[in-house]
Amino acid sequence: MAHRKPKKPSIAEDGSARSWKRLIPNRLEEVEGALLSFESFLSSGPVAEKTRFNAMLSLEEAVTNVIKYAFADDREHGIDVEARLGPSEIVIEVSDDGREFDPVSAPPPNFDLPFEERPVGGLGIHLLRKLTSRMAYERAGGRNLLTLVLELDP
Amino acid sequence: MSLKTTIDAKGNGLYAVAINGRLDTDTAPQLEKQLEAVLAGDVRAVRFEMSGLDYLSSMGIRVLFKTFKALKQKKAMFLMANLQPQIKKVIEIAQALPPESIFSSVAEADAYFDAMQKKVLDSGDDES
Repeated sequence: MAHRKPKKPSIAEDGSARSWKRLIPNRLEEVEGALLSFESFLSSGPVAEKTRFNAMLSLEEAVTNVIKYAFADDREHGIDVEARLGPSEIVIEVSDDGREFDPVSAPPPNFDLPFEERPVGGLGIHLLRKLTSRMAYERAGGRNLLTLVLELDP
Repeated sequence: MSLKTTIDAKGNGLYAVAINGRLDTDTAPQLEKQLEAVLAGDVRAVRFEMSGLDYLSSMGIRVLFKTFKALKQKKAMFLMANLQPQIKKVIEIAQALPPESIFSSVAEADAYFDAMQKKVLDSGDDES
């Protein structure tokens, strides 16, 4: 049962890349390399610096969450990441075969506490919510699929 | 190296920390380690000079936040100066650090530290 939509051609007429794919092993050390590759992809298209920054941050948060929380075993898992650059938005899909984890439904951090009493967790998902135009989560075929959309000109 | 940090003890309990590059999942532990020595000593303030900080993710914010909490426990000050606009935006969105720790220049941050120190000293002298 396929959960992926058909892919659009990956090179646009002006030569810039329109899609990017990467399989990231579930180790925090692997995130940096993936981000640099993603940055090159974003730089190849008409993406404003601010949107590039937000997209990189979003990808980092999403992948880091999966690495930290999705897997209960010690085995190596691959995290499938795909990004597509459309005329008005960037779509990022993060997919893994870990346990069910829905960041979209996670509770927000407690902003009522004074700064020094706040717990450190929850920041990443909160950032994801604020930096993306939309987020969607799906669980299918034993996999998590998180879709992040960032508008090019919000 | 994607993160370069220099720490300069100013002699009055103020530590000037200049951060250059990216503060993310990869580099945050490195900064945390470097700050350990400062936080273990007789620190009155840590002032971060951030003009060279190009990228900050939640892991980086976490280290800054932990540093803020540790300094607060020691009744010391946490100051940040010259944040790039996008970085400042991320910090504001995260609501992880109080806005009064953000200054638009090193001079402003240091003047604030001096004023606070003077207050402490003056109130100590005030015997009446």
